This record gives sequence, C-alpha cells and structure tokens, in this order.
Amino acid sequence: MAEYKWPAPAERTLIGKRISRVDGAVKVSGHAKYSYDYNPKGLLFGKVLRCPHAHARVTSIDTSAAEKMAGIKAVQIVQKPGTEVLWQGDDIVAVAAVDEPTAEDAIRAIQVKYEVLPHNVSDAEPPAGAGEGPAGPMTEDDLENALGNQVPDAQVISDLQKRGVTFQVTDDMTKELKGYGVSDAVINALKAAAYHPEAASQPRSPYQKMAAQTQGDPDKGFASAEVTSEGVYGAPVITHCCLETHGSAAEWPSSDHLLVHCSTQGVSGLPDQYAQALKIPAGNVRAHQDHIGGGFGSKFSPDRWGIATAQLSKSAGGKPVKYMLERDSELMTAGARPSAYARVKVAAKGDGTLVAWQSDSWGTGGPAGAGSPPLPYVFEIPNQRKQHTAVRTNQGPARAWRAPNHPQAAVITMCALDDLAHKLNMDPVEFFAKNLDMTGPRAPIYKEELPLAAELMGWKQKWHPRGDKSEGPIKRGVGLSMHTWGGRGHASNCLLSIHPDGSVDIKMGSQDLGTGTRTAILIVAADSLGIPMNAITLNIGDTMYPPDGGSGGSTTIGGVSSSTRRAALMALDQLFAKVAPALKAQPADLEARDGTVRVKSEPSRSLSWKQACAKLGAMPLSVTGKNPGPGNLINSGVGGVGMADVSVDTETGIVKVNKMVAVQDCGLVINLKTAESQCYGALIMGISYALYEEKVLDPVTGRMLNPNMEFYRLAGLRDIPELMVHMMTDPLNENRGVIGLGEPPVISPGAAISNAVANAIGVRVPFLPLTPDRVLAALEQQQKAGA
Amino acid sequence: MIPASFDYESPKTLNEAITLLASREDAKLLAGGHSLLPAMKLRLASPALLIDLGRIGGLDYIRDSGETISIGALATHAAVAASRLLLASSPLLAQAACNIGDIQVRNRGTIGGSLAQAHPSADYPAAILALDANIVATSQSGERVIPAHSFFTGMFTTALRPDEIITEIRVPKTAGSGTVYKKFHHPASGYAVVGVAAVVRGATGKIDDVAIGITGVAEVAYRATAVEDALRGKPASAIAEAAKHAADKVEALGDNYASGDYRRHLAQVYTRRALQEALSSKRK
Amino acid sequence: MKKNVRIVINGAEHRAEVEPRLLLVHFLREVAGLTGTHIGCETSLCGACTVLLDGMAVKSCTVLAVQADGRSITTIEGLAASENLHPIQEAFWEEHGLQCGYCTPGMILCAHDLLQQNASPSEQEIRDGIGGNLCRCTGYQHIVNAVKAASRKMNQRQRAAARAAD
Repeated sequence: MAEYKWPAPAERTLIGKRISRVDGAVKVSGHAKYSYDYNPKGLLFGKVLRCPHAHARVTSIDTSAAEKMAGIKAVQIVQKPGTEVLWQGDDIVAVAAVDEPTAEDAIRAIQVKYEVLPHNVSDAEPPAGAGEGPAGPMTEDDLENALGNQVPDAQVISDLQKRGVTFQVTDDMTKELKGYGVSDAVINALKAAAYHPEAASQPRSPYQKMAAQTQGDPDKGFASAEVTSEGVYGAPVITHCCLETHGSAAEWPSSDHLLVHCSTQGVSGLPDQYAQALKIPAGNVRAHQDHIGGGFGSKFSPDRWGIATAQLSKSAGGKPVKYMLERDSELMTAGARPSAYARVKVAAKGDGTLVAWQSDSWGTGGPAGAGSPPLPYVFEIPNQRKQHTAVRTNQGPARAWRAPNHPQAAVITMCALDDLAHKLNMDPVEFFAKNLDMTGPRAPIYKEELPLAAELMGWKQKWHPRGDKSEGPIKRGVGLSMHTWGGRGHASNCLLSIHPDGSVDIKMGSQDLGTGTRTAILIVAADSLGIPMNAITLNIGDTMYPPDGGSGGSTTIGGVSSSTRRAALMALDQLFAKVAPALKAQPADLEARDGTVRVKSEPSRSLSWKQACAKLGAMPLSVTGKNPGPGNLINSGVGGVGMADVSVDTETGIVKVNKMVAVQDCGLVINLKTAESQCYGALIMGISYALYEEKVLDPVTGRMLNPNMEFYRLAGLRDIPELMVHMMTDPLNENRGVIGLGEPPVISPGAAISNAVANAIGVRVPFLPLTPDRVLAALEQQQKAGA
Repeated sequence: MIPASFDYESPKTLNEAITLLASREDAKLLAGGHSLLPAMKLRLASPALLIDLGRIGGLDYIRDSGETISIGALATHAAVAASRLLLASSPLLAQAACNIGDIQVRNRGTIGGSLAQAHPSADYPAAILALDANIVATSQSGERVIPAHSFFTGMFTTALRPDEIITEIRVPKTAGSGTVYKKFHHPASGYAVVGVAAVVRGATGKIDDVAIGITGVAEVAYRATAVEDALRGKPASAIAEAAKHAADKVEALGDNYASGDYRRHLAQVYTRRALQEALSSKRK
Repeated sequence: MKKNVRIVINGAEHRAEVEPRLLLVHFLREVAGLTGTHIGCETSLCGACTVLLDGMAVKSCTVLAVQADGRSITTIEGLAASENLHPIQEAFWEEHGLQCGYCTPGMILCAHDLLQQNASPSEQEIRDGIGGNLCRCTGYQHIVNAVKAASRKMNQRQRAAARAAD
C-alpha cells in the first residue's frame, strides 16, 4: 500500500514550480467557452422584468401584450401578485424570445402594479437601545441567522421554546436543516415551537441585537491599562461585479431531463438545487461549465433567474433559453458584501501589551441582516466585550465575498490597533510584534512574516510618526495589517483511469474559476505518475463526473490536489502490482519517474510508461481518490501580512498607492505561478475596495445610485503600484500540506491602506472607501480639533 | 442593453445629410456614437431616425488656415490628440483630447459629436472656451459661425438649431502662450470631475493675458472670468489668491462621488495648478 | 426597417439583414457565431468587447453593426495569422496575464492597437494605453508584464525578419 504523502522536495518534478496554465491557449485565442458563450442553434434569449422598488407588494401583473408579440416564446411569472418584494431589482416576470431585442421589447410591454411599502436601506449606526427588549416569535431569517452564526444549540432551543416561530415548520424544512448538519435537539425544538402566524406580518425592528460576548474581565482590563484608544471604523456594502454576469442556458432534452450551462462556482451542487425547485429527480439534471468569468463567492446557486430560465425553456418546448444578467441587475441583486462598522475601545499597557477590547459593531447584509465579523481579528486580546447588531435593510441580499467577514474585521481591528500604536508612540511594526503571542497557533509564522514584510516594504526608511511633516501638499505614509484564514480542502473525488495504451484520463466534477485548478490537478497527477502533464486528459466541470466541492473559501486547491494525489498513488499501486513480475521486483520497490516504471534501487531496470501500461491487459485501471482520505495531505490555517505605502494629495484628497507588499503562507504550494498570481490579484482587488468600491443606495427612493460601471468603480491599470509578493515556502510550511489561498491575501489591503493614509496625513479616515471627499473631511476635522 | 428600434440612413455627402436632417423632426445625428449610443441603450434617447455621418468623406481634416487651425467635425479624439499641427501651434485641444476616455473611445469619438452633446463633464468644452474657438454649423441656409462663449447654453444643450450640423471647429494658434489642461478623472467613468484648461500669455513672472475654461463643476462649462480679471497684468505670485475665485457665482453640480462643495474646492486647486504649470511650461 | 450589411470578419465576409439597432458585438457573437468577444459592462467602460475595426481598437458594444457595414473587423479568433498564436497571445499565456480569461480577448486586442502605435511602450504608456480595459480577477501586474514581453517578441521578430530580408 502506498503511503499517502507528498513527494519529498528533491523528488518533485512539477509541484511547487512556476508552471504556465494549461488552458492558456484557449483563453488567449477566444476559444474558451463561458456559459455566456453557449450558443446552440435555435437558442432563445431570456430577459427578466425586475422590481423598481426597494420594498413593495406585487398587486397585479398583466403580460397579455408581451405574450402577443411576435417572436415571444415563453412568459414566466417569477413572483406572483401578493408577493412582498424586499429589494430593488428582484425578479418579477421572465420572458424568452427569438432574439434579445424582442425579449427586451416584451419586458417593456408587461404591466406590473405594486403597492409600494416603506423601505430602509440605511446601515448607519443603530440608535441607542435599538434591537433591545422582548423579541417576538422567530422568523425564518432569525433562525437562519442563529444557525449561520453558530449560536450555541442551547440558546437556539431556549429561544424556540420561549418565542415560538412565525412560519410553518414543514418536513422539507427539517430535512434540509438536517442536511446542513443541524442537531436533532434543535430540530425537535423547532417542531415543537409554538406557531404564531399573526406575528409574521407585524412590523419588526430592523435591528437584531446579537447576544453580547464577554471574555476575561474587560472592566478590570481597561482599568489596568495605561493607554486606551477609541474610534469608529468600517467598510460599506460592495458588490462582486463579476465581468461575466450571473446566468445560465437551460434546455430540456426530454420532458423530465434538464441540461444547464450555468456560470457557477459549484457545478456538482447545482442539480439538487434545480431539482428541488423544479420537482424533478436531481439525477435528471445535468450541469456543465467549461469556464467562468469570475465569481468571488457570489455564484453558488442557480438563483431565481436560473430557475426561471429552466421554466421558460420548459414552456418553450424544451428549447435552449439563455439568460445572463444585465450589468445593472448584476450590481443590484447578484452580489453584495455585507457592511460592517464598529465603535471600538482598545487598551494596552505602557509597553504596548494589549489588555482589553470592546466593540459595538453593526452592519447589513440585506433583508436577512448579516453575520458578525470576527472581532478582535487575529489577536486574542485577553479581556473582551463585544456585541453585534445586524441591520435588516432593503438592499439586495448579501453573498459571500472573497474571505467573508474578514476584510471588514481587519479594517475594524487593524485600524483600531494602529490608532492605539499611535497613542503609545510606537512604530506599528514593533507594536504588532510585541503582541504576536496573542495570535494563537499561527504566531510563529507571523513572527517570520512581519519582519520580512517590513524589509520588503522598506518600512524602516519609510515609517515616521503620524503626519508626514515634509513640505508641499503631497503626504506619504505606510501602514500594515495582518490576517488569517482556514482554507482546508473540500470534499473531492478524482476518478483516474490508466488505459492499456498508456493514456491517462481524469474526471472530476470540480471547476476552474480561473485560479488554475486544471493546471494544479495536472501538476499533481503528472508529478505523481512521472509522466508529462500533456500526457493526461483532464475533464472537469460536469455533473457526469464524480462530485466535487464548490469553489469557495479557499477550499478547492486542498480538495483537488489531495484527491488527485491519492488517486494517482492508488493507481500506481495497482499498476505496480501488474508490472512487478515483468521487472522481477516487488511492487513496493517500484517507482514511476521520467516516463518509466522502474526499480527504485536500480533505475536501469525499467519499462517505459507505455510498456508498463500494456501489462494491464484488456481493461483500463480505474480508481477514485477522495478527500478527505488517508494521509495528511492538507491542512488549514494560514497567516499573512499586508503593507501599503501611499501618497495623499491633501489639497484634493486623492490617495495614490505607491507600493503594496504581501507576505503569505499557504502550506505546500502546488503551482508557484498561480499562487503568486492569487496574491497579486488580491492586492489589486484590495486597492479597489479600499479606494473606490461602494454600493450607494438612495435613502429616499431605496434605489441603487451606481448600478453601472460608469459610477461603480473597479481599480484599473493606472491605479496599480509596485506590488511585491512573497510566499513562505520553507520546508516547515510545506510539511503542513496544501492549504487554500484565494481568500487570505485579499483581507489585509483595506486596513493596510487605511493605516498608511493615517500615517501620511496624521488623522484617521474612519470608513472605506477612502474617497477624496472623506479624506478632506477628516483633514478638516483635524484642523478644527487643532484650532 | 438594447436601444429602441429606429430607422437608419448613412448619407455619403454633407448635403444629403443636411437635407435628411431638415426633413425629419425626430432624427438624430450619429458620428462616433460614444455619447449617443449609450444614451439610446439606456433609452434616455429614442430617436426615430439615426443619420450616420460616418460615411461622409473629407470631414476629418486638421489643417492650417493661417491665423487659425481648422478641424473637421469628424476628426476623432485620437486624431486631435496626435495632431502634430495642433501640438505645435495650438496644443490645448490636443491636451484635452488625450484625456478623453481611453484608446478605444478616442478611436471612435469625434470632436463634433462631443461638442454637440455638450456633456457637463466633457473635456473639450473647457479648452474650446479658453481658446475662444469658433464652431461652424451648417444647414440648408448655409454656414453659421458660433463663438465658443455662446455655444454651450446648458446641460446637454447648445446654440445649435435642430437643422444644423457642426462641420468645423476653428481654434486660434497660441504660439507664445503656455497652455495646460488639468483634469481630475472620475475614477469610474473617466469624465472630468473637474477639468481646467488654461492659456497664459506673459513674460517671466508676469501674466499679460490669461483665459481659463472649466468643465465638470457646473451644468455647463464656463470661463473663470473672476480669476482672469484678477490676474491680467499681475505677477505670478497673484495666482494662488486669484485661483480662489475659480468657482465664484457658480452653481456647482453634486453627485454621489463628488459634492458640489467638493467640486468648487477642486476647481480652485486645479485652476491654481493649471495656471502655475501653464506659466512654467511657457518659460521652458 | 432592416438593412443589409456586409462585414469582413477575420478575413471572411459575412452578409446579413439586420435591424439597425443591432450592436456590432451581437453581430459578432450571434450572427457570425464568434463568441470570443465578450460583453462586460454594456456601457463602453470595461473594454471586454474590444475588437479591431479597420485595425483600430473599438468597443463593439458601442458600435452598431450597420456602422461596420463594408468594414473589416478582427476579433480575438482572427488575431493570429496561422494556427500559431500571435506574439501578444503567447506573451499573455507565458506571463500569466489572465486568470478567468473573460477580459483577455479585449485586453489583447487593445494591446495590439497600442503596440501598433508604439512598438516599445514604457510601463506607464502600457498602463495608459490599455487603461480602458478592466480585469476583476485581477491580473494587472501580469498583464503589464505580458504587454512588455509581447513588445519584446514583436520587435525581435521584426528585426529578425529585417535581417532575413537583407
């Protein structure tokens, strides 16, 4: 039996090297097919009529004029009269037509009447006392929040018993909850909970105050402190703004079989979601995706519009219907990172040792409120008191955005700590270093990373106490932040076949988000089998292949690399058993290297890969490597440090980033080229949300004011400074196994840039994005305070 | 996003275009299309007839006409930005042109189309005003020369009559003057949050004459006459104080990116910087 | 009122009767079946739909198909003269100038326009030159490297061709 471990450094031929992506040629030549590019003959085009109001009840829908239009093949009401719509842009009616202009004309011919209801789109600080007092019966949102935020079972049960629920508890619901791993005790309490349907329609406070959490003795902690800093910090709702919008093409090869080409981060997870909505067996749903134009956490579900697309196709006799969101719908409805803000009080001893933390945080994730950011971030300050209030708003619902809740937590924590360092008259690098023992198991890595990042940044030469005292309006400063993430590989199944002719193929239900998943799988397989990458045929992105986890939370690389490694080692075991007699050796004495199968101790005793495979006889050898599985191939928990160097024009408020540094560990790197690329990309995305991005809603109308790329800004080529990325690839890190990398490096840039701006101009700009008017407002306040 | 249906004509000559335009009230002219097509896709404009000027030959020249340089209305932003003639004798317009959008937009967009649209944050109007350029409009009744100062009448409105087509822009040569276009690009749209075009004539350290056009701040681009008046005949040291009047008596526009007050403030800063730069560029 | 158009795309003539409101990008994708040209923002701000119109980079979401009547278009599928990749395409691959790849066709065609006008652009000229193309993933660092590498490749090949001609 093979021992399931990674090859030793000297034996790696591909793993850890800089390898060009295998799908490069199709992508640079325009031949890569995105779901949006699915273009079969007879394709119909979908469009969706969306609600213009932030909160309304649909009172009537008249589609008769649209239905009579030439070229209209199907009309589907998505939300019936009587439905309460909770955000602008929600789907009301979908149509399918022979071409897009006709579909657009039809949408405009549909008459929908609404009863407009009062809305709240503001995520401003909750008024004192908001969300307190006796809570009414729990809504589905309340329950989802409690479960989603890991509220202890005992508390959920007690809430259910005391408060009851506003919704009917169905078998489907309890089955689904069980599927998510909710305990029987909670499910039983839910079944037994008193049903208060009347409470569902009662007005509810938009504020959901979570239980306060206390650790140590915060009062004593603050009393013992020598220096205390207070401030307010935060980051607004931003959007995912995938360049390929959400959407899919759906068709029915037969009346109960659905085929979808969907832009998704989780191919294997789609059938069940379609099946539930369309009442067909999940096994009858086939989902396929070759390439995806960005997801960033927002593309895990078919969504309302995807289900409607499938329904339109059904009504149109099963013909393929494609519907991709328009840019405005994409920005309004298809992805929002929750906001998070906090009033923070943090204190230290005179030598900089952190002693106490207190935070009152709030934020919105749309109608269902939002999870709370992990505060204080990275540093386990001994004495803490923290409380979070989720604000329900009529904004589009939140979706996971690269490192959910962490960038917000970093902004709140790292900016508060930076302000405290300033009060302590300490260089933030020294101050952070002083407290690294509070960072838990990743402390050793931070201790290596922090000085390294400082060196790459030229911190010693650049740092100065707050406020650049040089002449002229341009002020320069540096700032830093630290972050952490899990990144353990998800469930994965790698079906690997070796054929008697020597060819090898792999089938996996995984998907490549552009991060280089295809390349990583082939690197692992080729390195393990001792054959070139191009000798292996890789098939991914289809539910015909063994299921694989969704690509979110930096879980893909750990999943696919470990399942592939296991599959390759299992396959070699079987192959060696067949080949050993011919080489007059024991299977355990063989190895696959350089396109041969050979005796380890005597490499000249060998068969070529092809000759070896011929020993398989008539049947191919086929194995499925799994994750989780035997051997410690993956791990979780990484640490990283981000630093920024900025210039601020104090006359205009414009912030220019001069340089960014990312120092990151992620265990064993499979492909250094794509790993570094993740970090570079994350730094740039960080600059984008630090300086530009914000979903702006009009408090009066409840509508989004920038649902387009004319006013919703993504960083461009001209905004990007010198970037330095350093991966911690020493053996100690590599021995931990493979850990995901998509999320971590995007966490720190916002806080690091905010701290650099504070260092440059001498005053904190409390909220991201650091727009010119906010910078000038902070400077003005500073002047007033000084005068 | 798809525009509403419309009819389309692509006349080969200016006369044909003028005749077509006069025959239909619901027609719009299409040049590069980079202002009109986005508006049509958003259904902010739904003309029944589009008259595409793109096939009319000979309207994209940039030539020396003695005292002035004449620019055909269909000259693209890219052509204006790269014109050796303009760069040598009247660079301000080229300086403004190279700040418009990006390569792709500059390859398509035309000076005539941009001026006719009169976007409050477009770049050309500031330069056209500071240069005291003339705009030639042609209709069935002949040519009419409209001075820049009376051309822009409001947000998206000009002195053009419905039957007129811009055919030429005439800009004076500015040899002996320093010219600068300074712009704060809107980080997303690329339009001017504030754009200041300055023409400064003067000997070392002294300003003989000055013209300043400002775009992006108000509903319509304007001349900063208060700054100009405060600087004529004054030493360069007067710039800082004078520039504070860059948005005097101006009702500033505000949006979710930049408030009216912020735009007024920017107008002052950019006016000061533009003047200082223009003066020093002149000295070189 | 539909119009007949004749557009040469990647050297091949395409004739069709189209509504005047049909955008060039839709003509390319749906009439000519060339899906390498993508729509991103729909409002000529992201550059994903960039193609070459008579050799010049334009955003095909803001050009009507009727405006391209009689003209010649190069899309990403037609950039390389042969089976091989164009040097810019090679450079984007080798330098990892792409992740999801959705913006890549537009990036490459815009870089082509830039390199036609300026064979050896500086880093700043590259950033300005293709500044109208957005990448969300975001690979700007490697995109700049790719354009630099493409410039070197193209200049080298030109010199080699010139030597061969001597």
